[in-house]
Amino acid sequence: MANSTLKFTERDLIRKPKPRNLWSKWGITLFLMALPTVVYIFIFHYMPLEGLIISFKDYNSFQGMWGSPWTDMGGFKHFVTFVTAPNFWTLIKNTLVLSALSIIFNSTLPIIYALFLNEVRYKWAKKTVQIIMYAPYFISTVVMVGILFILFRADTGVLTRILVAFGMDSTSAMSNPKAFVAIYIISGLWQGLGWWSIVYMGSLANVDPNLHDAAKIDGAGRLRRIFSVNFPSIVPLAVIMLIMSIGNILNVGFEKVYLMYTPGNSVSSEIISTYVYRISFPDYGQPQFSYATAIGLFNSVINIIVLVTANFISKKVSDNSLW
Amino acid sequence: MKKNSILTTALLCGVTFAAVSCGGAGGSYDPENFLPHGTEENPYQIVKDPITIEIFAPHSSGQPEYKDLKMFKQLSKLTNLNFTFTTPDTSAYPNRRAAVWEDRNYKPDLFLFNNPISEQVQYAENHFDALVPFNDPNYADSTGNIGSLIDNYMPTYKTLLDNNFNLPSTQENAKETATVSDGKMYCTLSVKDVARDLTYKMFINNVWVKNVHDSFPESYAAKHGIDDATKILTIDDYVGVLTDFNTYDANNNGRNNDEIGVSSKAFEFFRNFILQGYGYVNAAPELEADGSKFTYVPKTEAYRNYLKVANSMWKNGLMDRSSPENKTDSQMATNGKRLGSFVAAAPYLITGQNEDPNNLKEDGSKWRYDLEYVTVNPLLSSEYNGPRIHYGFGYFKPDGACIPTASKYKREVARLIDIMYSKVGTELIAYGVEGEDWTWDDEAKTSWTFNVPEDWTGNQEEYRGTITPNVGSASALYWSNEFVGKMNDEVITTINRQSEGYVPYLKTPEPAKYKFTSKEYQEISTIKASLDGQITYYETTFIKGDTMDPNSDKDWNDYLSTIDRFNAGRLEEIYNTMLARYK
Repeated sequence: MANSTLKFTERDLIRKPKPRNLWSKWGITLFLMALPTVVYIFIFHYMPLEGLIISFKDYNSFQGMWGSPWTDMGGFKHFVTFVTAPNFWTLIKNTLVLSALSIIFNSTLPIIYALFLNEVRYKWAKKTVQIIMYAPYFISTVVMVGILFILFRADTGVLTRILVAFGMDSTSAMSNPKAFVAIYIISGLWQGLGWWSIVYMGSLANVDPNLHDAAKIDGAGRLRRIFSVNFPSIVPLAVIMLIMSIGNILNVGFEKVYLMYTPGNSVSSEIISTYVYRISFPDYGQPQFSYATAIGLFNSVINIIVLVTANFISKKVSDNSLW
Repeated sequence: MKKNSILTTALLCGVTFAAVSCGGAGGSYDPENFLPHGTEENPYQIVKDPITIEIFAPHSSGQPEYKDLKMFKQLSKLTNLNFTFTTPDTSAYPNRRAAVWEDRNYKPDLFLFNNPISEQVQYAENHFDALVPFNDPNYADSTGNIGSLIDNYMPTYKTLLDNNFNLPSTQENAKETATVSDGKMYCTLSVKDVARDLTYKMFINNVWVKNVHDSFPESYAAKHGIDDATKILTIDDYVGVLTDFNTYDANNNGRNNDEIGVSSKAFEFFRNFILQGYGYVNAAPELEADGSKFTYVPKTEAYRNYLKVANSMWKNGLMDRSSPENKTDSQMATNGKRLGSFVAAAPYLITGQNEDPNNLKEDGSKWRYDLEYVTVNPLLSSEYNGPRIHYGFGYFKPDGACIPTASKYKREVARLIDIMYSKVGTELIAYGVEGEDWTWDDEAKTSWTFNVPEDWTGNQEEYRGTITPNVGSASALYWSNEFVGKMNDEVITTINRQSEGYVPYLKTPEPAKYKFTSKEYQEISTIKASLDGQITYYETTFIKGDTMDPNSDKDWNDYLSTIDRFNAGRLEEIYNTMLARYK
C-alpha cells in the first residue's frame, strides 16, 4: 500500500484537469477579453495610418487622399521643406531641451520623493503630504498657465515682486526666453510630482519585508536600506518608465507650451508641435495638411529610432528593456 | 431555426437602413415646388411645400444652437424652408470646412459665413466641380439649365453689386473682390460699412488731457495748446501728452507715476497706430500708397522709427509693462482706470463702468468712465508728412455664402441668400424682427431702439446672441450702416461718431481684390508660420531694449539678416509677383 503511494510523481500531483472544450484549450476566453482593446487599437491607431500617404502628396480635399497629386522630389517635398526650413534646428533644439530636461527631472525627482515619503512613519502625515502633492495634478493646463501669468504679471504679480526684491526686472518672466524653460519644468513638477510618484509608492509597498529584516540583521541603517533595498526594487520599473519617456522625446506636451507662448519668449517656446499647429491652423491661407503630416511623420520616425536605441542600450547595460 | 431568424432580422435591418439612407440622400427634386418670385401674399416665400436646407456654418462656444436662434426661425417662417445645421466650433472651422469634401455622403446645401478665399482659388484653378459659380450664365446641372444665379434669382444682391453696395466713395470694388481667376464668383461677399467695425480705435483719456493742460503751464499740452485730445496731431504730441500724464498726476489722486501712458495687446494695435505716423499701417506686406508695389514693412526704416519711439516710451515708463503678455481685453483691463490710452472696440471694455451708487450724474444716471475717452487722430511725424492714414479692415470680403454643386436646391438657396441681403434680411441678421426685437423711434425712421427684455440678466450683446449668429464668430452678410447706424444707444452712437473720424483715412494694407494662386497661398502660409514669430520676438526685444537696441545699426542689421534668412525677401517677392498679374 505504501509502495503504491510512492509511485505518484510530482507531475502527477500538479497535473491539471483535462480541458473540457476547445474554448478553454485555446484560451479563447482570454482572446475575447482582449478583443475590444485589439479592435480599438486597430481602428484608432492602425486604420488612420492610411492618412500618412498625404505627407507624400499635395493634398487637397476636393480630390481626396488618394486622388491628390504626388509632390515633387519623389514625394519627399514636404520633408525637404521642413528640414531646410530656417527654424528647423531651432525647433529641434527647443523640443529636445524641453523634452530632455522634462525626462531628467520628471523621472528622477518622483523616485527620490517616493523613496523619502515611504519612510514617513506616521500614516496621517504621509497621507496628508501625498494629497497636498498630487492635488495640483487635477488642475487643468489652461488654468495652470493662467495662474502662472497672474503670478508673473509685470509689476503686480506675486512672484514678479519677489524677483524684483532680488534685483530683477519688473517685467513678466513669461516673456523672457531664458526663464521659459525653468518655468515650464518647475511648474510641471509642482503639478505632477505627487502624481508621478504614485506608481513608485505602489512598487515600494510591495518590497518584501524579509529583505528589510535581513538588512537590519546585517546592521544596515535606514539610509542604507533605502539605497540597498528599496531603490534596487524600483529600478526595473524606473528603467521601463524612462525608456517609454525617451520614446516620446520629440512629443513635448503641445497645449502647455502653446498656452505659455508670448512674443517675448517665442525663440524658446516654439517647438515642433506648436509649429505643426501653426501650419495646420494658419492665419493666412488654407490648412496645410500635407506639410503638417510630413512633420508629424518625421517626428514619429525620430521617436521610434530613439526608443529602439534606448531600449537596446538599456538591455545591454541593465538587463531591463521593453522587449 | 433560431440562427435563421437572427440572420433574417439582421438582413431586414440592413435593407431597411440602406433604403432609408438612399432615400435621404437621393430623393427626387420637384422643380414645380420652387417659387422664383414668391407669392402675392408673401414675396419671400421660396417653396410651396417645405423642404429642408442643410446649412454648414461656424459656431462660437457660448452661442445658442443655431436651430434655436430667432433669425433662422423667422427666415423659416418667411420662406417656408426648414433648416438643419452642422456647426463646427470656430477654432476647428477651417479644418472641418476642408474635410467636408472628403466625406462623400455629407452634402450641405449652403456654406454660410467664413468661406476661405484660398479654397475658392484652388477650386477655380483646378476646375473641381464643387461650388456653384453664382455669375455663370451657362451653368447647368441635373435639375436643368440654371444659368446665372445672380441674374435669375438674386435681384437684390445683383443691384447691390452693380451699385458697389452704395459705397461710391470707396476705392474698393465689390465685383472685383468677389471674382476669382477664372472670372467666376463662387462666394457672395460679406460687407460691412458701419464705421465702428471698419477699423480699430485708439482711445485717450480726454479728462486727463484737459487736467494737465489747464493746471500745468509748463506741461507739453499747455505749451503746445493741446487743451483737447483732438488737437493731438503728431507722434511727438502723443508721446508728449502721455509723458504729461505721468509727470503731472493727470488723475489727480496725489500720486505721480501711477498713470500708465498706453497699453496694448502684444503691441499689435499700438504698433499699427504708431506706424501710421511713418507711412504704413501694419507689420506685414503692405501696398504702397501709389499702388506700385508691396513692401514688407518690418524691413523698412519706418518700422525702425516705430521701434525707436516704442523703445523710448518703454524706457520712460509710458507703456504698460504687461503689454508683451496681454492677449485679451480683460488682461489689459487689469490696469483699466490707470490707463491714459489704449486700443479697444469700446472704452468700457477696458475701463469698466462706475458701479458706485453714490457717484451719479445730475440727472440721476450712473457716471460712465468710458465716456471720458475720445479717439486719437491718425498721426504724422517729422519723418512722414504725407496723407494721414489709418488701418482699415476693408468693406468687402469674399467669404459670405457658397452653394455646393451637390445641393439639389441651388435656386432655392440662391433666393434664400438674396433675402439675407435684402432690407428685411439685413435687419433680421443684425437685430432680429422689427416690432418685436427692435422698434422705430419715430415715423421718419431716423433711429430705432433694441428691445432687450427687462428681466434679461446678461448684457445687450448676449441677448442679441439669442437672435442671430452674428454675435461671436459669424459675420452678418451685409452689416449695413443704413440700418445699424441708426441704433439709438448712447454708447454705440458715441463710438460710431468717433469711429467716423477715421473713415476718410482708412487704408487696407492688402486689398481683398488681390488674390494669390493656391501655390502662393501655400508658400506664404509656410513662410509666415516661422517668420511672424521672429518679427514679434524681435519687436519685443527691441522695445524692451535689454539685448537689442533699435538705435544700434549693428543690432538692426543683425535683425534684417535674420528675417531675410526667414524668407522675408521671398515673401515680398510673392506679393509683388501677384500684383504684377493685376497690372
